[in-house]
Amino acid sequence: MSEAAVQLRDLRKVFRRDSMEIVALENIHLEVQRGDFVCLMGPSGSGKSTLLNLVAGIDRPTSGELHVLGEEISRLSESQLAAWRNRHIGFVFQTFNLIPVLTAFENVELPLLLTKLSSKERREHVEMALKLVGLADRMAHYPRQLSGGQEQRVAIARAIVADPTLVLADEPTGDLDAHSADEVLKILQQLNREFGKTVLLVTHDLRAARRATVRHYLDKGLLQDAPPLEMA
Amino acid sequence: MKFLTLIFKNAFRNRRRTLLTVLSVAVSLFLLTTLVTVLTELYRTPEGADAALRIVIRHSVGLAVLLPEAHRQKIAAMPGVVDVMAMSWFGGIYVDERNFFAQFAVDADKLFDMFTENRIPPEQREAFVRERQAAVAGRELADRFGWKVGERVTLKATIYPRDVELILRGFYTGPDETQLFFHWDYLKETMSRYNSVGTFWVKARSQEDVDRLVAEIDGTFRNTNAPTKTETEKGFLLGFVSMMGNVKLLITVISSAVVFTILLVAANTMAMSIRERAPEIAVMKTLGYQSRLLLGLIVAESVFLSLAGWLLGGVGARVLFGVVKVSRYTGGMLAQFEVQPATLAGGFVLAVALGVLSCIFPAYRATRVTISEALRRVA
Repeated sequence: MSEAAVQLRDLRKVFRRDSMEIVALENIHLEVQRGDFVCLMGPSGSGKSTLLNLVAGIDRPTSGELHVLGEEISRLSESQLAAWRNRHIGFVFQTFNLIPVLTAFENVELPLLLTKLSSKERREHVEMALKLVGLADRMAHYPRQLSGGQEQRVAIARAIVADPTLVLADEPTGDLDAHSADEVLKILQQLNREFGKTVLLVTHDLRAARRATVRHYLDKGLLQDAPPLEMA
Repeated sequence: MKFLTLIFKNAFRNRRRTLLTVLSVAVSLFLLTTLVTVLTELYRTPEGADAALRIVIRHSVGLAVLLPEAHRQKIAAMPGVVDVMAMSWFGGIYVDERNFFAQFAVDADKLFDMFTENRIPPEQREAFVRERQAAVAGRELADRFGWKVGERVTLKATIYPRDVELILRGFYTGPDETQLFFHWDYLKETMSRYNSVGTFWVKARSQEDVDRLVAEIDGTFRNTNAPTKTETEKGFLLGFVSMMGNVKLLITVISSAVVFTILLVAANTMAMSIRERAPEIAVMKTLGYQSRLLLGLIVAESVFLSLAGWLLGGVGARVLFGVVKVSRYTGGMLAQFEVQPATLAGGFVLAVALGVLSCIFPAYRATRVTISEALRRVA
C-alpha cells in the first residue's frame, strides 16, 4: 500500500481584496500517493494554481489540514518552510522564471547553494540534472540564448537538482509549442516512472493530462469528478 | 563565498546603469575626499618634535606692519628662550607672477636649528650660512623650476624697494618643500639701513616656557611704539585659515550636501533594480531562499557597488594627489596635499553605510512580500 505524499482535509483558501472576500478553494479533500503522476485540471480561475501553491508551501490555507510528506506545513514558520521547500519540493513555473543574468548551469545550481555540498559536488549534481533534461551542451548558455522549450527544461533541471520528493508543475507547457511541450512532458513522465518522483501537474493541456496516472478536476474552487478527457 | 557570483552578476545586470551609478558615487567620493583633505591640510599641525616649542611674534597691528630689529635682544634675554630668528616675507616675483612661491629672509645660521624637521646635507648648509647671497630651496620647489646647486635666481621685489640676486647653495627636504630662504643680513644690506623684521621666531626650552613666554613677550612690548602679538606656531598658522572665514563650516555643509546627493542617487538606482527583480526574489524564495539571506544578498550587492565607487573616487584621489603636486597650485596655502589614511578609512565607512542605507528599505519590503503575491504581480 502506497503512502500519501499529500493529504488535504477540508482545505479552504480565501483571498481578501480590500473589503471583498474571494473564496479560491472550498472544502478540498485530496490525497496524492507517493509515486503518482497527478494532473489537476480546470478552467482559469478555478483555483488550480492556488492549490498547487498551498501544497508547495508558498501560500497558507485559510483553514483546513495540509499534510505534505508527513508534515503539517501550515504550522511551519516562514524560515522553516523555506528550508522544507529546499529539501522536498521542486517547482516548475509556466513562465520558466530563470534568472536572466545567470547561465543555465548557475540557474540550476541555485537551490544547491543553500546546501552544504562542496563546489565539486554541486557541479556533479548540476551536470547530472542538465544531462537528464538533455541540455548538457547548453550549460554556459544564458536564458536569452535558449529556446522556450530549452528554458523550461533548465527550469525542470533546477527543480530536480536537489533531488526533491515532490515535483510541482504549474502549467509547464502553457508557453510552449507542441514539440517543446511534448519534450517537457516526457521528462516529467520519466521523472515519475524512472526516478519515482511524485508529480503534481496543473494544466489545461490534454496531452499533459493523458500522461498522468491520476486526474482531478477543479471548478470554482471545488474538487469535482474528473470528466472524460475528451470533454475536459 | 559561494554567493559571490550571484552578487556580482546581479550588480552588473544592467551594465550602463551600474557604470553610471558607480561613476556618480566615485565622483562624489572624490569630491568629498578632496574637500576633507583641504580641511585636513588647512588645519594640519606643524610636524616635528620642536614644532610645539616654536613661538611666532609679529606686530600687534598685523603682518603688514614690521617690528624693529631691536626687539631681538630683549626677546633673546628672556628666560626660557633658546634661540630667536628673524623671518621676513619677501614676496618677490621669479621670472613671472604665475611662478608664485613663498620666499623668506631669515637668519641663515639659525634656520635649520629652528626648523629641525627640514633636512639638508651638511656641506650645503655650511655653504648657505657662509655666503651672504646664498639661498636654499625646498626639493619640490627646485624640481618645479629645474634648479641646480649654484644656479642664480633673481627675485623681483614687490614690497621692498630693490630686487635680490641669489645663488642657490642647497636644497632641503621636509614637510614643506615649497619655500625659499635667503639671508636676512643680505636683505638688510641691500636696503641700506633697513632694520625692520616681519616676524621673530622663538624656540622655547619647554612647553611650560611656551605658555609663559607668549604672555611675557607681549607684556614686555605693550607700551612701546611696536607692540607685539605672540602666538604658538600652530596658533599663528590657524590665524591664516581664520582669515578665510569659517572654512570648516563651509566645507562641512558642502560635504553633507554631497553625501546626501550620493545617497539619493544610489537609493534611486537600488530601488529601481530591486523593483525590477521582485519576481526573481519570489522564485528564489520558492527555491528555499529565506528572506534574511535575500536581504543580505541585495545589501551585499549595493555595498559592492558603493565600494567600487569608493575605490575609484577615494583611493583614486589618493593615487592622483600622490602623482599630481596640488600644493604647487595653491600659492603656498597648502604646503602638502596628501589624502590621509584616516580620510580614506572614513570614505570606506561612508561607502559601506551608503550601500546599506541606499537599499535597506526597498530590499526589506521586496523580501517580505509573500511568494504568491509577488508571482501574482508577474502574472
